[in-house]
This record gives sequence, C-alpha cells and structure tokens, in this order.
Amino acid sequence: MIIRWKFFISVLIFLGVISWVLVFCLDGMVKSAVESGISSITNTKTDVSGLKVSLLNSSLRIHRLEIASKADPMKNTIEFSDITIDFQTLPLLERRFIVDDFSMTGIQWGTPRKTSGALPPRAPREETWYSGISDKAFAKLEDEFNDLPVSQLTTFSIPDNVDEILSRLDFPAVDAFKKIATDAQELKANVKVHLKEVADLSDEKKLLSEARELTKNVPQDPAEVLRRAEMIRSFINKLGEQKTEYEGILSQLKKDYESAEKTYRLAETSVQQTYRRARDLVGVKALDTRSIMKIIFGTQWVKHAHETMKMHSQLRRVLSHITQGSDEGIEIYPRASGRDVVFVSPKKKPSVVLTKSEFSVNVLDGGDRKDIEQRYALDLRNITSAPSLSPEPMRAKIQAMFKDMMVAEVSLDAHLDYRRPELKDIFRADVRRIRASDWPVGIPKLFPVKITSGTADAHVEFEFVGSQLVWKNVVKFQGVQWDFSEVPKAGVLTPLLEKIFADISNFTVGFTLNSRNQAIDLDVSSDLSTLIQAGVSRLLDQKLKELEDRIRRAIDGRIESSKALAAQELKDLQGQTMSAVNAQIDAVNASTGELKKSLDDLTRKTRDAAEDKIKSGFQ
Amino acid sequence: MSFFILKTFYNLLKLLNSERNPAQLAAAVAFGMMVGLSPFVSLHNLVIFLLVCLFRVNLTMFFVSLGVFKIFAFVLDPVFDLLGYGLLVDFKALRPLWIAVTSGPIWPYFRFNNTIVIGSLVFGVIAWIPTYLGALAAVKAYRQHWRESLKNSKLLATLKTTPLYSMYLKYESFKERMSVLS
Repeated sequence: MIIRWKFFISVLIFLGVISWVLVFCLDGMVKSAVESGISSITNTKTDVSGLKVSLLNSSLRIHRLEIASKADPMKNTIEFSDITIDFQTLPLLERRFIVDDFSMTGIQWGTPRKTSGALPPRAPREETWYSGISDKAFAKLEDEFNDLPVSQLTTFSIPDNVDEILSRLDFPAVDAFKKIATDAQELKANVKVHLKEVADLSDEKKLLSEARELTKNVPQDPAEVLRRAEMIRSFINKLGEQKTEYEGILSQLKKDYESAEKTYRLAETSVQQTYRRARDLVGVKALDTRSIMKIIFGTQWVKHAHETMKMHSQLRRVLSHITQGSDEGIEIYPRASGRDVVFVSPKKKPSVVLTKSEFSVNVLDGGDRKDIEQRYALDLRNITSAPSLSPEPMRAKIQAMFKDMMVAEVSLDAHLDYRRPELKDIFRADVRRIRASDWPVGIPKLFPVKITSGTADAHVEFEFVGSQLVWKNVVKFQGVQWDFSEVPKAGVLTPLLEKIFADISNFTVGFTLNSRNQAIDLDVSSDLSTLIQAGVSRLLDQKLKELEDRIRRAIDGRIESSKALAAQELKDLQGQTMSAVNAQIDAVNASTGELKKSLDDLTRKTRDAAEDKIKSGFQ
Repeated sequence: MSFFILKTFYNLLKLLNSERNPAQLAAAVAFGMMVGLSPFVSLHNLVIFLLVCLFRVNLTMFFVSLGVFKIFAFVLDPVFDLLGYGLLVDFKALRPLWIAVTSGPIWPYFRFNNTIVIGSLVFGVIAWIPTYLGALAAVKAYRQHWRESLKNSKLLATLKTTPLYSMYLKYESFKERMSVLS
C-alpha cells in the first residue's frame, strides 16, 4: 500500500503537541519581536519586562517597555508602565494584526537604565529622492543665510566726516559749469572778431560821409544827378549786405546761447543727483529690514526646519516603502532572507492595523497622582503598517498639556494619505504658551540677541502633496523682553535696535517654506519689520538730516564758483554781446534810412533838373 | 558529529543495499531536494513533510537529501532571489496569481511573496521530476554495478577498523535489544 496512515496520524499528533508547546512560548516570541521591531526603528535597545498574549481574550499586555536613549545609553528616552492592546483573532489567519483598542499608562522620560542601551552603528541608509533633495536644498538655504549681512547690524554707522563722503562722489556738474563758462568766453571773443570783420567789409561811416557829400552842391545836369543817385543806391545795397551778416551772427549767437543754457540746466540737475547719491551713502536705504528679520529669527529656524524635514523624510521612508525604480503596483521590503514583495491591490490589506484608539495618559510629578505634570490625549484612526494598502488615510490627533515646561499646550492633527499615486501629508498644529525665552533667535557669537521673557503661540500648517511642500508657521509673541547685553555694539544700529526692541513686546513672525523645482525657499516676514523700519527711521532721521545739510553745503561749496562763473558768462553773452550785435544792426538801419532819404532827394532833384531842361529847350 | 555522519552513511548504505523499492528512495531524494533548497521555516515545507509522511517515501533518504541540498541552498540563494524577483515583479502576467496566493486566510503564512521562497519552490517543482528520474536511475545503477565492488572496497574495510565503527555496532545492538523489549 502506498499510503501509511498510522505513521501519518502519529506525525500529525506530534506536530499538534509541538504547536501546543509553541503557544505556551508565544509570549517570549512576541516579546522578542516587539523588542527587535522597535529597536530596528529607534536603533537603540528596547526592553520589555513582561508580556502576556491571551488568544482567548484577544489581548496583548506589555509591562514596562523601555526605549533607550541614543544620546545617553544609560538613560531611557521613554518608558511606558503598561500598554494594553486588544486585537481581533480571526484576521491573524490572514497574517494581519488588527488592533481594536490600544491604551497606555505611566509615561516617563529620561529614567535611568541598569544596562547600556547602545547598539552597534547601523549602515547608512540609501538616500531617497526626498531626503537627498531636502538635504541639498537645505544646505543651499543655510549657505544663503550664512551670507546674510550680519556685520551690517553690528557695524552699521552714520559717517561723520563729510569730506570722506564727498571723496566717494564724483561731481560732473563742476566740469559742466566750467565748460559752459569757457565756451561762453570763446563765443564772445568770436563774435567780436566777426563783428569787426563785417564792419571792415563796408565802412559804414565812410559811405555815409560820401553820400552826404554827393547830396551837397547838386549840379543842374540831370545825368550827373542820376549818376550820384545810382552811387547812393549802391551804398544802400552794401549796407543791406552788412545787415544780413549781422543778423546771421545774431542768429548763431542765439542758438549757441540756448545750447549753453540747456547744458547749464543739465548741470543743475546733476547737482541734485549728487545730493541724492550723497544721501544714499549715509541713509537708511542701505538697511534691509528683511535681512534683520532673517538674521534674528530665520537662521536658527532653518536648522530646526532641516531637522524636522529629516524626521519627516524618515517617516515617509518608513511608511511609504518607496524604492527607486520600483513600479507603483508593488512595495519591496528587504528581509534577512530575500525580499518580500507586497502587491498594492484592492484585495491586499495592511498586516498591522490600529483601527481606532482614543486614550489619554497622565504623567505624574514624582508619582504623586494629585500632581499631573503632563497630560496627553490621543485619537488615532487607521494607523497601519502599510498605509498605501489602507482603504482610509491615517489620522492622528494629539492634545498635550504640560505644566511648567517650555510649552503649555500642543494640539496636532496629522492626516497621512500614502495611497498611490500621490502621497499626501497634512499636519496642522497649534502650540500655545511657548516660553519665548526658549525660542531660538539671533546668531550665536555673531548676533547673540536673546528673549528673556514672554510667551508665543504658534500655528503650523505643513502640507506635502507629491513632491510639493508648503510649510507655513505663524508665531505670535506676547509680552516679550529682549536682551542685547551680549550683542557687540560697534555700530550705531545695535543701540538703536535695543531702544526700538525695548518698546516692542507684541509682534508676529511668519515663516513660509516652499519647495519649488527641487529647491527650498524660506521667507521670513513680520510686522516687526515695519516697526523696526519706522523706529530706525525715526531715530536716525534727525542725525541724518543734520548730516545731509552739511553735505549739501559742502557740495554747494564745491560747485558754487564754477556755477557762478558759468552763470556770469551766460549773462554777459546774453547782455553785452547780443546787445553789441543788435546795436550794429540798429546803426546800419539808421545809415540805410539816411541814405534812402538822400536818394529820394537826389531823385527828386534829378526830376526837377530834367523838367527845367525840357522847359528851356521849348522856350 | 562524526558518529552521526557515520551512522547516516551506514544507514544510507543499508538502504541502498536493501531490496526497498527504488522509487521510494528516488522520491525521497526529490522531496528532500525541494525542502533543502527552500528556507527551512516555510509552511510549504511542512506540507511537503506531511506528504512524505503520508506516502511511502523513505524518511532516512529524505533527510539525507535535505541535508545535502541545504548546502547547495546557501550558494543558490542569490539565484533564487533573482528568479523569485523576476517571477513576482518582472513577470507581470503572473501578478493576479501572486495577488491571489498572498491574500486571504492562511495563504500569507506560506510567504509566497518572498523572492527566495517562491524562487526556490518554483525551482524545486521544476527540478522534481528530473531529480526523481536521476535518483531512480542512480539507485538502479548502484544495485546493478557498484554494490558488490563497494562491499569489497578498502575504504569500507578501513572504516570497519575504526573505534567509531565499534561504537556504532554497540549502538545498533542496543537499539535491537530495545526493540525486542518493546
């Protein structure tokens, strides 16, 4: 017979007995799995003092769970007194662990350990697209912040030496005025020469005297009279030509004068520009108050933001299981032996699910039940080991209250949707009554400003959809007092800022971090910026006005002589030279009038002589 | 350890020299190969073991085969990983099958979504018939050609002179007495 039933049944019984024994050993196996599972995440030792699995009651109870600190191996980061997990039994057949209820009591931080909690260092993880970009973008951002003009804050001063300011300026107006004066002088000389040349061409006085001679002792011979009249007519023509020459000179002179006057006006504008440049050299325009905001609040915040992004990157890595080059329908989990391939499909469900859990934990001060030091209220929904397979997004609401700590209240609403194709993280948090003195401000050593008292309320919105991140933080400070005692006071600005900040106790600061094209951009805005600008302007204005007046006087002093010379020359050009040309024209006009009168007289005498001769001929 | 090896060796010789059905021995080698090449803690190995117990497959030969092929498994694991990855990830036509055999009750415990488990299992299933036929031919050839020459070989004669062999004889006589008593 090919089948041996007896042997087969005895083997089955034997396997059944082994399974029964294994159930008794289940506690130890689960304990080991819990310890190694948490250690693989924290990379520190995890100890469980007692663990009890009850398949009949579908519950798992953990007593004293200690997670060692990474920084101090002889201390625990956190210790839980009791954790109770109620789970469903049937899904265990599908290798799924569905938690119906989850509660914990007695949380303590920093408790001492009997043994070291250090583990051998782990090999660095493969860089993911996110952590890589995040690190590079933050390195760039930190470089930008390192380049902020911190020295401007500590060394900014208003220059006192006017000559030093003037030495940094150029004065094009001076050259322009000098050129106007020189050109005007040359023009005047040229006009003189021209006038003389024109006068020499036709000696007006000589012509006039000759014409007067011609009109005296007029003969009776009409032909002679006519000859004389023709001579006077030629004199008139000559004077007409002379007048045309003078008018040409006058026209050219007017054009040259207009050009010189235009240059003069430009030079005057240039003087105004010099005033403005001088004002810019000493004015508050050089102060960028946005830089002040970044220096005071942004530099430290960038470091904290980087740490937060690193943590978020780790969270995404753990929850999304995205590996480079893998297709969207699968997730790959490396194992000690081979790789587990999980198929993302509607049929596939996550292996560990915490459907719903609402519980609160009180942390007692020194074990005194009346004195609650910390209180946590958690509302967890659909927390799963494989969020991409979950039918619903994961939700976690955490409310925490602290007594005498750096924060009084924290509420966090986390919405994690890792279902394909687009991963979505949305965190909204409100942190109330933050101890403002613990808020990181300034730059150590370079600008070590501090907040000594006051509180702050922060509202945080962190949305990471696909690869686009928008992270907005608005922090409202109240009753803040500043400490500038350690800030170097080399310049004029630090004492001014100290004065201004002494009056500013309530203000709002906004940090907005955007990821764009694999780069991260951080904007720091605040109503403090306006207050600082107004305060700096108010206090600096008086000093600046005095200085500006001195500078204006000095600039005027440098320009004055050349400007006055240019103005005088232009005045001369317009007054003396143009008048001389006009006088010449008037003289020519007068001579021409006299000659025309003589010509009329001679013409009349010629007619009379001719009539007399005709009459005597008839007689 | 040496005693165990010697004991196994003599048991194996006894089996080969006995008049047991060569098919039982060949099936044991083939099943041992399947289990040996797979990661030991796999649910399908329990199923194979139950099959071995249910059918008249020689258990000694099964365990010997398992041990021998386990050595090969260490070398072949990277190959099974690649084969399994190809089947699970690259061969997309099979994906509905994998989704079906990795979902639902009990199935997930078989870990068919593990690259080495599925790679070694598929290899074992494919190699089962050639291994069975090869082992069958080898047993027949041994009994026909090599059995007598091995009996008279110097190696066997030398082994019989060792203290380990005398220990083995004592163990065998003790086992016989115990079976008589029971």
